Amino acid sequence: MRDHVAGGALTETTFLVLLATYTPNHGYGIMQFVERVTGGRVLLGAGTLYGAIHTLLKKKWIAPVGNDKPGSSKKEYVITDLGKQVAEKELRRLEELYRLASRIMGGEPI
Amino acid sequence: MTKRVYRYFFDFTEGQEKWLNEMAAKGWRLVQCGQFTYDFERCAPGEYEYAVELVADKSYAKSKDYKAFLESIGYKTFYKNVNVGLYFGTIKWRPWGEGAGQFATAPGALQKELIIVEKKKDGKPFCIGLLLFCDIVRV
Repeated sequence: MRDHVAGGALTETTFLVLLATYTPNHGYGIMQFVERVTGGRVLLGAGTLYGAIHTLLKKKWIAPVGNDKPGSSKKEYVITDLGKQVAEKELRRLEELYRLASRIMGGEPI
Repeated sequence: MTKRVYRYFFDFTEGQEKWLNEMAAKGWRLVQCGQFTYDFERCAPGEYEYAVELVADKSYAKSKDYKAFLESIGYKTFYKNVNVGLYFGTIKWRPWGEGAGQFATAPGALQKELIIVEKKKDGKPFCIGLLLFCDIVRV
Protein backbone atom coordinates (compact mmCIF):
# COMPACT_ATOMS: atom_id res chain seq x y z
CA MET A 1 0.00 0.00 0.00
CA ARG A 2 3.02 2.28 -0.10
CA ASP A 3 2.27 3.61 -3.56
CA HIS A 4 -1.42 4.29 -3.86
CA VAL A 5 -1.01 6.15 -7.08
CA ALA A 6 1.99 5.05 -9.08
CA GLY A 7 2.00 6.75 -12.46
CA GLY A 8 -1.75 7.37 -12.10
CA ALA A 9 -2.50 3.71 -11.39
CA LEU A 10 -3.95 2.41 -8.16
CA THR A 11 -2.43 -0.66 -6.59
CA GLU A 12 -4.67 -3.69 -6.81
CA THR A 13 -5.04 -3.68 -3.01
CA THR A 14 -6.18 -0.06 -2.95
CA PHE A 15 -8.68 -0.58 -5.76
CA LEU A 16 -10.11 -3.70 -4.11
CA VAL A 17 -10.48 -1.96 -0.73
CA LEU A 18 -12.31 0.91 -2.45
CA LEU A 19 -14.63 -1.56 -4.22
CA ALA A 20 -15.29 -3.31 -0.89
CA THR A 21 -16.64 -0.06 0.57
CA TYR A 22 -19.28 0.76 -2.09
CA THR A 23 -21.59 -0.59 0.59
CA PRO A 24 -20.54 0.12 4.21
CA ASN A 25 -18.11 -2.54 5.36
CA HIS A 26 -15.94 -3.24 8.40
CA GLY A 27 -12.35 -4.50 8.47
CA TYR A 28 -13.11 -8.19 8.55
CA GLY A 29 -15.80 -7.72 5.89
CA ILE A 30 -13.28 -6.02 3.60
CA MET A 31 -10.84 -8.91 4.04
CA GLN A 32 -13.53 -11.46 3.21
CA PHE A 33 -14.82 -9.42 0.25
CA VAL A 34 -11.34 -9.27 -1.31
CA GLU A 35 -10.80 -13.00 -0.83
CA ARG A 36 -14.25 -13.84 -2.24
CA VAL A 37 -14.27 -11.62 -5.34
CA THR A 38 -10.76 -12.65 -6.36
CA GLY A 39 -11.46 -16.31 -5.69
CA GLY A 40 -8.68 -16.35 -3.09
CA ARG A 41 -6.07 -14.99 -5.49
CA VAL A 42 -5.57 -11.87 -3.37
CA LEU A 43 -5.42 -12.30 0.40
CA LEU A 44 -5.15 -9.21 2.57
CA GLY A 45 -3.28 -9.43 5.84
CA ALA A 46 -4.65 -7.61 8.88
CA GLY A 47 -1.65 -5.30 9.25
CA THR A 48 -1.77 -4.26 5.62
CA LEU A 49 -5.50 -3.69 5.77
CA TYR A 50 -5.18 -1.58 8.92
CA GLY A 51 -2.56 0.56 7.19
CA ALA A 52 -4.65 0.78 4.02
CA ILE A 53 -7.80 1.87 5.87
CA HIS A 54 -5.92 4.61 7.71
CA THR A 55 -4.23 5.87 4.55
CA LEU A 56 -7.55 5.95 2.66
CA LEU A 57 -9.23 7.74 5.59
CA LYS A 58 -6.44 10.34 5.53
CA LYS A 59 -6.90 10.81 1.78
CA LYS A 60 -10.67 11.07 2.41
CA TRP A 61 -11.34 8.34 -0.19
CA ILE A 62 -13.31 6.46 2.45
CA ALA A 63 -15.07 7.73 5.58
CA PRO A 64 -16.25 6.10 8.80
CA VAL A 65 -19.99 5.37 8.97
CA GLY A 66 -21.98 6.76 11.89
CA ASN A 67 -20.29 7.89 15.10
CA ASP A 68 -18.72 4.74 16.40
CA LYS A 69 -16.26 5.22 19.21
CA PRO A 70 -12.62 4.87 18.18
CA GLY A 71 -11.40 1.37 18.81
CA SER A 72 -14.89 -0.02 18.36
CA SER A 73 -14.53 -3.39 16.73
CA LYS A 74 -17.52 -2.94 14.46
CA LYS A 75 -16.32 0.28 12.84
CA GLU A 76 -17.64 0.52 9.28
CA TYR A 77 -16.27 2.46 6.35
CA VAL A 78 -17.86 3.71 3.14
CA ILE A 79 -16.37 5.15 -0.04
CA THR A 80 -16.65 8.95 -0.42
CA ASP A 81 -17.49 10.96 -3.57
CA LEU A 82 -13.77 11.68 -3.93
CA GLY A 83 -13.04 7.96 -3.59
CA LYS A 84 -15.61 7.18 -6.28
CA GLN A 85 -13.97 9.70 -8.64
CA VAL A 86 -10.61 7.99 -8.09
CA ALA A 87 -12.14 4.54 -8.65
CA GLU A 88 -13.91 5.68 -11.84
CA LYS A 89 -10.70 7.18 -13.19
CA GLU A 90 -8.97 3.87 -12.49
CA LEU A 91 -11.74 1.96 -14.26
CA ARG A 92 -11.32 4.18 -17.36
CA ARG A 93 -7.56 3.65 -17.27
CA LEU A 94 -8.02 -0.12 -17.06
CA GLU A 95 -10.61 -0.08 -19.91
CA GLU A 96 -8.20 1.80 -22.12
CA LEU A 97 -5.44 -0.66 -21.29
CA TYR A 98 -7.79 -3.59 -21.88
CA ARG A 99 -8.81 -2.30 -25.32
CA LEU A 100 -5.21 -1.64 -26.29
CA ALA A 101 -4.00 -5.04 -25.15
CA SER A 102 -6.94 -6.81 -26.82
CA ARG A 103 -6.20 -5.13 -30.14
CA ILE A 104 -2.48 -5.85 -30.12
CA MET A 105 -2.75 -9.37 -28.76
CA GLY A 106 -5.59 -10.08 -31.18
CA GLY A 107 -3.16 -9.34 -34.02
CA GLU A 108 -4.78 -6.08 -35.08
CA PRO A 109 -2.40 -3.51 -36.55
CA ILE A 110 -2.15 -0.29 -34.53
CA MET B 1 -3.35 -29.13 30.94
CA THR B 2 -1.58 -25.84 31.54
CA LYS B 3 1.95 -24.79 32.34
CA ARG B 4 3.73 -21.62 33.39
CA VAL B 5 7.07 -20.69 31.90
CA TYR B 6 9.40 -17.96 33.21
CA ARG B 7 11.21 -16.29 30.37
CA TYR B 8 12.62 -12.94 29.40
CA PHE B 9 13.66 -11.88 25.94
CA PHE B 10 16.23 -9.27 25.05
CA ASP B 11 15.42 -9.99 21.43
CA PHE B 12 11.85 -9.08 22.25
CA THR B 13 10.23 -9.14 18.82
CA GLU B 14 11.88 -11.77 16.63
CA GLY B 15 13.23 -13.95 19.47
CA GLN B 16 9.98 -13.96 21.36
CA GLU B 17 7.95 -14.58 18.20
CA LYS B 18 10.16 -17.51 17.20
CA TRP B 19 9.86 -19.04 20.67
CA LEU B 20 6.05 -18.68 20.77
CA ASN B 21 5.80 -20.32 17.35
CA GLU B 22 8.02 -23.18 18.52
CA MET B 23 5.77 -23.63 21.55
CA ALA B 24 2.68 -23.63 19.29
CA ALA B 25 4.31 -26.18 17.00
CA LYS B 26 4.78 -28.41 20.05
CA GLY B 27 1.11 -27.97 20.99
CA TRP B 28 1.25 -25.13 23.53
CA ARG B 29 -1.08 -22.17 23.12
CA LEU B 30 -0.53 -18.92 25.01
CA VAL B 31 -3.42 -18.05 27.35
CA GLN B 32 -1.92 -15.29 29.47
CA CYS B 33 1.34 -13.44 29.96
CA GLY B 34 2.79 -11.43 32.79
CA GLN B 35 6.03 -9.44 33.12
CA PHE B 36 8.20 -12.56 33.10
CA THR B 37 5.65 -15.34 32.80
CA TYR B 38 3.86 -17.11 30.03
CA ASP B 39 0.91 -19.42 30.73
CA PHE B 40 0.19 -22.06 28.14
CA GLU B 41 -2.53 -24.60 27.59
CA ARG B 42 -2.55 -27.66 25.39
CA CYS B 43 -3.65 -27.30 21.76
CA ALA B 44 -3.14 -29.31 18.61
CA PRO B 45 0.47 -28.96 17.41
CA GLY B 46 0.62 -26.27 14.72
CA GLU B 47 -2.95 -25.11 15.34
CA TYR B 48 -1.93 -21.50 16.03
CA GLU B 49 0.76 -19.09 14.96
CA TYR B 50 2.11 -15.93 16.54
CA ALA B 51 3.49 -12.54 15.61
CA VAL B 52 5.01 -10.02 17.99
CA GLU B 53 4.87 -6.34 17.12
CA LEU B 54 6.41 -3.36 18.85
CA VAL B 55 3.70 -0.76 19.44
CA ALA B 56 5.57 1.49 21.88
CA ASP B 57 6.37 3.87 19.07
CA LYS B 58 2.65 4.57 18.77
CA SER B 59 0.62 6.60 21.25
CA TYR B 60 -1.51 4.56 23.64
CA ALA B 61 -4.73 5.58 21.86
CA LYS B 62 -3.30 4.40 18.52
CA SER B 63 -2.03 1.11 19.91
CA LYS B 64 -5.44 0.42 21.51
CA ASP B 65 -7.17 1.19 18.22
CA TYR B 66 -4.81 -1.17 16.37
CA LYS B 67 -5.32 -3.90 18.99
CA ALA B 68 -9.12 -3.55 18.74
CA PHE B 69 -8.86 -3.79 14.96
CA LEU B 70 -6.85 -7.02 15.18
CA GLU B 71 -9.42 -8.43 17.61
CA SER B 72 -12.22 -7.50 15.18
CA ILE B 73 -10.46 -9.57 12.49
CA GLY B 74 -10.76 -12.52 14.85
CA TYR B 75 -7.20 -12.61 16.18
CA LYS B 76 -6.40 -12.97 19.85
CA THR B 77 -4.06 -10.29 21.20
CA PHE B 78 -2.00 -9.79 24.35
CA TYR B 79 -0.11 -6.77 25.57
CA LYS B 80 3.44 -7.53 26.65
CA ASN B 81 6.16 -5.46 28.29
CA VAL B 82 9.74 -4.68 27.39
CA ASN B 83 11.86 -4.15 30.47
CA VAL B 84 14.16 -1.60 28.94
CA GLY B 85 13.92 2.08 29.74
CA LEU B 86 14.25 4.47 32.63
CA TYR B 87 11.60 5.01 35.24
CA PHE B 88 10.85 8.34 36.87
CA GLY B 89 8.23 7.45 39.46
CA THR B 90 5.37 6.17 37.37
CA ILE B 91 6.73 7.58 34.12
CA LYS B 92 8.88 5.38 31.95
CA TRP B 93 11.16 6.82 29.30
CA ARG B 94 11.45 4.51 26.34
CA PRO B 95 14.42 5.63 24.25
CA TRP B 96 13.22 3.69 21.23
CA GLY B 97 9.81 5.38 21.20
CA GLU B 98 8.73 8.11 18.81
CA GLY B 99 6.85 11.29 19.75
CA ALA B 100 4.20 10.64 22.38
CA GLY B 101 5.38 7.04 22.54
CA GLN B 102 8.65 8.06 24.22
CA PHE B 103 6.99 8.47 27.58
CA ALA B 104 4.69 5.91 29.10
CA THR B 105 2.64 6.68 32.17
CA ALA B 106 0.80 4.25 34.41
CA PRO B 107 -1.82 2.93 34.06
CA GLY B 108 -1.91 3.60 30.34
CA ALA B 109 0.79 2.51 27.95
CA LEU B 110 3.21 1.40 30.68
CA GLN B 111 4.28 -2.23 30.26
CA LYS B 112 2.29 -2.45 27.03
CA GLU B 113 5.14 -2.04 24.59
CA LEU B 114 4.42 -5.13 22.54
CA ILE B 115 1.38 -6.81 21.11
CA ILE B 116 1.45 -10.57 20.78
CA VAL B 117 -0.99 -11.64 18.08
CA GLU B 118 -2.35 -15.14 17.76
CA LYS B 119 -4.17 -16.51 14.73
CA LYS B 120 -5.22 -19.92 13.53
CA LYS B 121 -2.60 -21.34 11.22
CA ASP B 122 -4.79 -21.37 8.13
CA GLY B 123 -2.26 -20.55 5.43
CA LYS B 124 -3.49 -16.98 5.17
CA PRO B 125 -0.98 -14.17 5.61
CA PHE B 126 -0.41 -12.44 8.93
CA CYS B 127 1.05 -9.18 7.64
CA ILE B 128 1.90 -7.82 11.06
CA GLY B 129 4.88 -5.76 12.07
CA LEU B 130 7.92 -6.30 9.91
CA LEU B 131 5.84 -8.34 7.51
CA LEU B 132 3.41 -5.48 6.95
CA PHE B 133 3.63 -5.63 3.17
CA CYS B 134 3.41 -9.39 2.79
CA ASP B 135 0.07 -9.75 1.01
CA ILE B 136 -0.19 -12.91 -0.97
CA VAL B 137 -1.05 -12.15 -4.56
CA ARG B 138 -1.13 -15.38 -6.50
CA VAL B 139 -0.37 -15.17 -10.17
